[in-house]
Amino acid sequence: MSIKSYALSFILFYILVFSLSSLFAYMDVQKLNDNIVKKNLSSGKAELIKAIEQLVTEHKLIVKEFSIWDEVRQQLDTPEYYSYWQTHRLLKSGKLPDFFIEASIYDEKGNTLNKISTITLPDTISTNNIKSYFKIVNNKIQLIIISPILKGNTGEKTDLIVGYLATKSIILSQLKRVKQFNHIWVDSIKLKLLEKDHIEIKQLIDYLTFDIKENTESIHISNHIKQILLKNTLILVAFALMFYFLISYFLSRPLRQISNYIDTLENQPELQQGQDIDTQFHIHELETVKLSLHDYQKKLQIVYSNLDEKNQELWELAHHDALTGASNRRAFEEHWANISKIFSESRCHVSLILFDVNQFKSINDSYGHPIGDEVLKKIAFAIQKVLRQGEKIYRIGGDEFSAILYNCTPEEATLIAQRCQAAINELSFASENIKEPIRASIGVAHNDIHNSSSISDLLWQADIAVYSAKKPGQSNIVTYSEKIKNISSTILSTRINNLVFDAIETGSNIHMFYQPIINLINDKIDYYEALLRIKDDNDIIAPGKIFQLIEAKKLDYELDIIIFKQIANDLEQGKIPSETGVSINVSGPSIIHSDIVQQLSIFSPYLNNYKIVLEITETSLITNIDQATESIIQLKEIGFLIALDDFGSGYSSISYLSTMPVDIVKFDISLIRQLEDEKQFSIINHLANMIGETGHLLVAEGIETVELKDKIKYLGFNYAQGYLYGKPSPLIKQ
Amino acid sequence: MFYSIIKIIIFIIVLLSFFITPAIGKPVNLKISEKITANAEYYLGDKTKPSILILHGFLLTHNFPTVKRLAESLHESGYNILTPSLSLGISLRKKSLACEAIHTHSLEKDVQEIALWIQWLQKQSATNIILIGHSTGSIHLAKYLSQHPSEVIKKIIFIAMPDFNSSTYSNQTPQLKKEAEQLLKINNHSLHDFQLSYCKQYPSSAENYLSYLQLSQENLVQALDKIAISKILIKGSIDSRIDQHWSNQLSQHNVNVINVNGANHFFDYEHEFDLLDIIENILNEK
Repeated sequence: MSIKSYALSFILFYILVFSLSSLFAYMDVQKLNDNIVKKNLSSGKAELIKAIEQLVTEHKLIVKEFSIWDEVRQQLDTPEYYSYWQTHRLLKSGKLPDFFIEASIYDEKGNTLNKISTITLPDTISTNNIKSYFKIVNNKIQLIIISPILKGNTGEKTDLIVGYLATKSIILSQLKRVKQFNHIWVDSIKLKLLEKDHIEIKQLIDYLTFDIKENTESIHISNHIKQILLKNTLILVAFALMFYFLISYFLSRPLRQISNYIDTLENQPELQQGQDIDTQFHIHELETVKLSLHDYQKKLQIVYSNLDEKNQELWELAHHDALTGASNRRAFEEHWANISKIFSESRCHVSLILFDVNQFKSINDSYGHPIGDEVLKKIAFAIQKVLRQGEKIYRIGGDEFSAILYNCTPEEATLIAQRCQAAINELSFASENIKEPIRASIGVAHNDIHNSSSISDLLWQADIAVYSAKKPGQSNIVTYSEKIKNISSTILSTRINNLVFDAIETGSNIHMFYQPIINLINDKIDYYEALLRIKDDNDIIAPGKIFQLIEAKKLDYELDIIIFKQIANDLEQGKIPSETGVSINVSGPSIIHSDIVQQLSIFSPYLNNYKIVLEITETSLITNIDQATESIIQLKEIGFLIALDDFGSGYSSISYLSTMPVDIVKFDISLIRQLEDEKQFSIINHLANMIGETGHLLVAEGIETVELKDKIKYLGFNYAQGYLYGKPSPLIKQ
Repeated sequence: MFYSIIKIIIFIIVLLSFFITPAIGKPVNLKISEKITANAEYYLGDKTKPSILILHGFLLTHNFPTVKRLAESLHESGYNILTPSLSLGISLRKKSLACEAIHTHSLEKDVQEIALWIQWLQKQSATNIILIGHSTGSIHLAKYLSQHPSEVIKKIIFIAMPDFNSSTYSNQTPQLKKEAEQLLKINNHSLHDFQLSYCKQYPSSAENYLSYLQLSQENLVQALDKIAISKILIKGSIDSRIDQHWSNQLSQHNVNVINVNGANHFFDYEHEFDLLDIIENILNEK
């Protein structure tokens, strides 16, 4: 919910609460009014009762006073003139107020002194129970008061009663005239009945109706309170609206602006300063937040700017070869991916030129790496100079460069390649003391503008072309064509490529075959040589093809790591029989790799129970003998045995053997086959004797016959390997 | 200091005033007839001093101020004072009788009541009685004394005795008298509205009415002549009910007329003291 919604909810809730409390207050006021009305009614009734009682008392006093009048007693003494007195004297004497409309005197027995027709008072009265009472006649109240007449005229109770006096007085008009009423409207006092003979004094109130005066003060207060409640409610509503407006204006609006600003920042982090919130907020904290945001945004922009610079630098570093200044392989791959995308559908000419420095390894080995580096720098510089505007040179391998040419016919591309070759050829390496000429093999591939998919083929086409250019007798510039397509079935075979690459990346399709190596003393299997096989469905790719590809792609180390893992897995699973061992081929690039010792340490757990031999070719040893020697020494310390593989296949000097820390020398099959020849037999015999005498164990490959076996045994070989003892095959867990 | 002393003195005087009781007459009832009891006030004084009967005027009571003040003053001088109220036919009458009231009384009954009171005084061992009447009360006393001469009655003082039938205040007429006489002739005892003295309506029987009409100048003078004791009339100079003719007539019939200058019929105000002084002087005379 938004703050406005919260504010609105709060205000509505507050109004509700206040309204309810006002309603309760209003109801209380109403209740109070009702109570006041009830109280007024009660007070009015009490007031009326009191007024009646007072009036009765007053009338009684008048009657009492009247009863002691001399002339009243005179009537008892001389009743013969009572009629005259009654008629002429009684009411005219002024002794009774005019609201006394009748009076009558009775003797001590309660009999009237004389019955007079105009008098409605009773002729006789009960002397036992003298009580005053009311009478309703013709809807008028009459008060009948009966009072004793005392003989002594003293007014004292001890005085003898000599007669009685009855009076009739009117009450209602007297009430209205004489009495002041605070609670009732005097004119509203009415009788409920028209006639009633006898009503006790205290019962009269039951026969009266009256209207209550409204308590003007309480009504005024009540109305005032109601007005206050109404005013307060109106003020509250007004304040609530104002509060809502203030919240909206001072809080919600700025917060919304800040929120929008943050949203904008989220979508456009590079927002410029001109797009800041330009409104001045009235709430200090919000203004502070706004300014902080602006400040933060400015700093963020600086950070972005720095980041851009760093990114650019990083990009440059990531995409450039530090040595030559040329773009690196990553840049090439990215550029090539873009090229593939852009030009796959177009009819533009695209050419790819690959450069491979001939014999660069030898230069490195002969002159050292710093000189090799200088060679590469000069070549890169030379090629870049030849390339046209916008075209770049990429260093895609140790001694490999490439260039991508656009809108360039095959002829033009070839021309550029030739110019590049000329530039390289013209380079002088006198300062590096390199005497022999340095050349580069150049492969050129063009796309077929009539075949949209041909762009993706340029890579391998150029690869084959450069591979072809390296062949002896070939021109140093080879343009890919159908003619050279089948030069290397291995390299061409995309399927093999894919399988090998998959095997390296995921380990899939890799199967280790093991060929036994026999101890010639007891003809028992001493250990097995682990041999790589990659399956293509049910077929097995020829190992030669694999290593040709691996070597061409320089993936020796990566492949070895996978193989190590596979062998270790077989050891773990117990596929390799106990009390035997395993011989593992380690490529030249792997043995000089800085991490090789660590990678091979996965076999450490098996060294106690297995004989583990690392087979290293002599060529790999020659390439970097110092590094190789260091690694071999470390591996030997761990417990590995080192075998020099393919001894005799190359042109290695026998002097190496004296310095090489190898345990086993494995004679190449080409040497063993030469044992058939007597001359060769003698040489090999001497060689074997010489090597054996230096403490090396000897292994003979390719033993397929018993005769051959006997010969090598005779020659002092310790171990024999060959079809005679078993072909390479998978081992099954015993 | 001075004012403090004055204050203390005033306080003491006020305090003492609570202990000074005015002369209060003792109520006395006297049965006149079977139904009627008359009432009076008796102020017991020095036994060696004369007893004085003071009678009120027409239809009044002994509480009439002129009578009351005189009685109290004389009592303070040591006299024994009796101030009866004529019952006028009403037992224990307390108030003056209105003209319009029924008048059942007569002159004879009034005189009879006076006689009974004189007897009552004598029963109180009064041997020296002086009669003082005010206004018509003087006439009643004169009538009584003329009919009942007594040795114990030593003096009779008339205060403002009017000419009952002939003064300017008298409303009785020869015509009314005639009517009354006719009624009496036919033995009609019912009430009739007559006029008598200052009453313009006077309900009375003819017989009773006529009894008061006896009080003519002639009859009064005759009655006075029958009185042998000292007779003194004290009159106010501005009392319109006693004209010079009547005053002279009384003087001629051995009534010592004392005129009080400025006094009215009731001797109000300062003339109250003049009246008292004169009566005291008269009483002191041997």
